[in-house]
Amino acid sequence: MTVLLMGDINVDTTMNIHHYPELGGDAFADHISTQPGGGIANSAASLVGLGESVALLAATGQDVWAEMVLKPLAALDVDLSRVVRLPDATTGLIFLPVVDGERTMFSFRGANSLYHPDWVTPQTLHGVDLLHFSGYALLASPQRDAVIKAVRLARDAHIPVSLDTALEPILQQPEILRCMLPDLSVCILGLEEAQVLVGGNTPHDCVDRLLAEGVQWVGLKLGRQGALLATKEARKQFPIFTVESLDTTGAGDSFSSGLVYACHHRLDLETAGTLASALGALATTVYGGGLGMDWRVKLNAFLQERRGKMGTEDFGDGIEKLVYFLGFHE
Amino acid sequence: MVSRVRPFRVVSIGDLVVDVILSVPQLPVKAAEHQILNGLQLEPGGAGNFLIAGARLGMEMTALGAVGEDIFSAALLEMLAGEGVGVDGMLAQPEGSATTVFVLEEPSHSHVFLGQYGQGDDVLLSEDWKRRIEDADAVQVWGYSLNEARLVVCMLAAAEYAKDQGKMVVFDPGPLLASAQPEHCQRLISCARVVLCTEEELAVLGTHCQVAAEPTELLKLGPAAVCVKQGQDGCRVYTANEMIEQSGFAVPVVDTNAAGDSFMAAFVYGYLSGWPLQKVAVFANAMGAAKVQKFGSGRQVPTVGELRKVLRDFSVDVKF
Repeated sequence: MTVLLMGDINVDTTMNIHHYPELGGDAFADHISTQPGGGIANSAASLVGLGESVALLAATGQDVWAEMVLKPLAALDVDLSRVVRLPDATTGLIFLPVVDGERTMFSFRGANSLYHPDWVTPQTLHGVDLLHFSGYALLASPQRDAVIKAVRLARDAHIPVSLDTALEPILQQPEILRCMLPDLSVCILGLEEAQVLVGGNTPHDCVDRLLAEGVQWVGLKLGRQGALLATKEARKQFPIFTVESLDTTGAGDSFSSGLVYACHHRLDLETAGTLASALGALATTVYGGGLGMDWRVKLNAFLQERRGKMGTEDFGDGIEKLVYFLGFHE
Repeated sequence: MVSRVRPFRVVSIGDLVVDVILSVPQLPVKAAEHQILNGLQLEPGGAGNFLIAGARLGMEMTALGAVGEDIFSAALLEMLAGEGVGVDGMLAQPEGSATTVFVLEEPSHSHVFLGQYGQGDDVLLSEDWKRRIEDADAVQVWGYSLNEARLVVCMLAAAEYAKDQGKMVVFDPGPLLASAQPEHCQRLISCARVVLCTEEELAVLGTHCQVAAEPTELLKLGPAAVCVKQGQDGCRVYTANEMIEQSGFAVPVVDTNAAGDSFMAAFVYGYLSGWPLQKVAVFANAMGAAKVQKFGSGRQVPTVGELRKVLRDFSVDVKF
């Protein structure tokens, strides 16, 4: 059984500069690094690390950029049979100038937005037991239409659906997202996103409204305040783990992986929140989205270091339960 | 004049750049925000403009220089090869990188540049590069590459080797010459048979070479010809015996980017053909005029068809 991830595959280029130049001017970078990435590629890496079987539903070009991102994914045994390689399109590229640690993101969605609804059929969902998609996939058609079709087919086949969305898709496509809420098993978003989507003043207001719309699991990201996880039966706020952070790229994608995994394996809230927070924190300890990281080894070490330690009380028994669930106690 | 039983062979050393043109919604940049690009284009910049323009004129263009094994380097070599430029002499350094310039351009075509000089180990003049220089009719060197740390020593040695071999060395000082070491500049001038520069670059050349900023003074240092590019106004070409002034073509200017490099490719073609300088200047001006009428650089330098159109529109009879 497989988790199917639908969204963007990109190559991320990060450059550290001292300032933005005036119009017509130059600024020289100390360092430029290029990493494979894209939300679903990052999520795939951490899910594979947890032992999941993962497939991607996306489009790339037939260029050097696609090779850069697809090769490491293939090496992770991610199922790429549903990835369409378009001859006349450029693979999605993200450019991230960083000034004093502040990242500005320029995204060229390229082939991503060209994913066509005709390529989504009932057969696409064969063997899939959870569909997760990125809100960015709703920004432009035909990819938007393909997502709408995939969600409908998943719903008809009683396959759980999970969404991770940023603000831009909600600003651009609020009605489509609102209509999808009753079909969502998992909805992961930030506080501002939730306020725009369903209203509400406080995190708990927003969670109440999302649950009332029919979402089964809500993962509300609260920045430095951590995250609030909620189902109809329970809710719990988790802090963020303290780590030596190098690069926040992929942190949100890995956080989402934790919740997707938790939903897929019906973990309780405490375990789910601990897993999502741990994966999100781990993603920041490397440059890029973590495609080259041995997630299982890193997660094991991360959890073992924190077992029974002071400062982890807010995770309750989450760390201990996770260690046992993932077989790290043996 | 070089015999035309085969195409002219031109080797260009250094100044290989990847331009990544990002069509941003607006400038200045909205810092810390996510912005969706309207478009993206990769193009060979710097010497790439010259190499592609030369290849389109039918010359055998060879790029020599250093890049890395990074993805931008791979893209650069692929694009140049796709235009018929020889890249098999290029060094792909395992820990190196290509000079990469991100051009953030808004719809009005205002732009800013974010870039990084290529990095890697120092390059030595190899036997392979010497052989390529021996086989060439002209060797192009660039003031830009006097700022490319890994290539400076090699480019100077290559220019001196080319001169010793009796090859025509063409020197484009470029706008960053002021930050180069004067001694390096002097060595390139002493090797050059042709110098192509702007008025501003002429002033820097004068300072670096400790002579008055006059083409006639530069000629005393070794070059046989100094061409001063004057944009839309055309160019002036100086030799020991004559000075010709050729006005430019009055065409609508859309984008001057890469016009100087396109001009230079045509100038080298005409010079190698042994044409009278006036004819060389007309031809080069026409190539520049063809470029300024269209947007872009790299693979957007003029085609032969676009060059012929300028010549035809202005009833200029140059056979090539």
